[in-house]
Amino acid sequence: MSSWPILSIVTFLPLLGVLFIALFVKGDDSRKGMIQAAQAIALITSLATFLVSLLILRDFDPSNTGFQFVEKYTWIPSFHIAYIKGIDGISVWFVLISTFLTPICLLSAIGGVKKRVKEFMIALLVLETMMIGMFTALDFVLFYLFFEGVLIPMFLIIGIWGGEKRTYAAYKFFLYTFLGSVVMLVAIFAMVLHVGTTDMTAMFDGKFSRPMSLLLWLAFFASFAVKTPMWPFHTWLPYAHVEAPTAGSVILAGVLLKMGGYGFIRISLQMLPDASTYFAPLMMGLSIIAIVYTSLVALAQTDMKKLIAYSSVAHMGFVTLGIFSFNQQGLDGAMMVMLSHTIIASALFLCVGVVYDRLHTREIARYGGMATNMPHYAFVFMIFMLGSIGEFLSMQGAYLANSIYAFVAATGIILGAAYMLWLYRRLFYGALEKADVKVMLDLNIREYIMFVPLLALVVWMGIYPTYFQGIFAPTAHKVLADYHAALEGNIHE
Amino acid sequence: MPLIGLPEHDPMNAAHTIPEWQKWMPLAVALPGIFFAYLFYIWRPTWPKATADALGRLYRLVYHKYYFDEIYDRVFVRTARTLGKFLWCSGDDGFIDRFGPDGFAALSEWVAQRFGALETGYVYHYAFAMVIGVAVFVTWFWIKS
Repeated sequence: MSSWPILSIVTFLPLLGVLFIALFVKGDDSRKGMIQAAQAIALITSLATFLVSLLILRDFDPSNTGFQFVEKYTWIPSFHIAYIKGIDGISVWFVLISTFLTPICLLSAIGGVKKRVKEFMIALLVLETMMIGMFTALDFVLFYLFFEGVLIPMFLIIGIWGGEKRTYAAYKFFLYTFLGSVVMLVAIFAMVLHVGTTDMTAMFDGKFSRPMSLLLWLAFFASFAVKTPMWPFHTWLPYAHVEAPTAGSVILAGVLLKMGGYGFIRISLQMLPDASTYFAPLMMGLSIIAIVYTSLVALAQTDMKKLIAYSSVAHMGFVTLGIFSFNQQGLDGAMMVMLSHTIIASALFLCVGVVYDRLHTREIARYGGMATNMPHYAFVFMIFMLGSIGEFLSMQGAYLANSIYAFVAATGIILGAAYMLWLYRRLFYGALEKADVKVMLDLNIREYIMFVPLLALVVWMGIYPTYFQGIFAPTAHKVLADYHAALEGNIHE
Repeated sequence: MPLIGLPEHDPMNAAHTIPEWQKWMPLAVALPGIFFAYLFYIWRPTWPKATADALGRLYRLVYHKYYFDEIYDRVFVRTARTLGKFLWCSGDDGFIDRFGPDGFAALSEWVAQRFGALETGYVYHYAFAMVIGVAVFVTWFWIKS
């Protein structure tokens, strides 16, 4: 199995589906057969990609803390650019969540997307390739190409299939994230010229002088802080989430936000350890501001999607808080929050999509009493709503690093419980009075198929997180050990 | 009460060895309760209202659970929501967006309009600009040399 270029197969398999749809599916939305064919091809391709990605998990050796399934080919030798791919304990879950979420998004799109169906399927499959490509890239140029490549299909998904203010939201998303990435590109050039190769593994463990590493760190911060997003670079997210179609919101919350967290670990922590320590107070400060600020803002929301979007910023605050605690509990906690948030935020956006497809509004006040006529939906929503409250490991890590930060961040958990339970009460309890809400039907078969894997996974993750942790923990240990060794090395110098 | 606890904790045994009068306390408290309930709601149903009226403020204080829920709502719930709304409208929209992305967008538009205003389309305007340009250049080289 290991002789196969399995990472390349998983990365580019979705493009095969794109090719099929582009070549063989003809006609426009007026032809039902055309729509069904495009949907079927997209779904089959994404399921096949997911199945192949399971082979990665099967053959992945958690005790090996280096990169596995490494593929290395010469690409542009005159510029020392190579095609290098590989995964370790940190990136393997991100590949899996990308392949896991795409079929679920496609299922949701089958019910929700009515115009330019063929193009939507293509955009989602291209997005999948970009996401997997980014998490598996070990060459800086390749990394940057995929990192930026994600923007194009996502820009189209928001801009074409979005809500009323889709143009504003799409441009805001694109320009905000692109501005950060351009600065990152300059930093990549500087690093490549300094080290003499684009191989990312050659840049680990603090190869740069202090002034240079501080500048490089800030350049990467510009990109990852927008992507994560951290306060005060978060204002694109509520608009993007609200205007994006359900599938777009799911991928945005589930995978795209994690690219920021992944970048902070892979590049800031592993390549620029000294600068990460220098800027840790800034990161911790912005993280706790994000947690408290956005949790308070979430309390004031009247739009379901906006509420969940703000809660995502708060959750990602726990991620950055954990990463920059520089201890095992913190990093493990950050990884666990990223994984659980992927499942839970995605599921919550799907939940919003269920009622949006029926009533075409996200206003919380337009609903109420749905536990009476949609008990199964109420149950599913409750599981995910409860799952989104509490981030113990990363809190523990933050406490070990600084008890005051942990104390302030803990108020975010209380506020999290408040806005989530309050949202649930307003949606599901009280009298079922509104005529159009009364006639809404409970979950259909397609929606059950969409939620069952997510429910299973969230329960599994809640009851037995050790399995998930066991995959990334040895690598996380090594990342931290390398980080501390690099710092000591710098001190001795 | 924990059924399984530390060895030195033995709540089951401790419950049996309390003084005799403590064992009778629940009944002693419950019996007057039953008596008053019977008195107020079966024998003399008009008494509850009369008592409530007579006690006035004390009755209302107890009836509203010492206004604990109301105080909690005012101090914590409303404050948090007001603060949230303020941070959302004034913080996110009013400050971060206004001076951040929207501010930059507006600035670029403003700059473009100013430069656009120079493009009048009249030949003599362009000719005049050229004359000024030539004059500036000549002056510059004359000073430099």
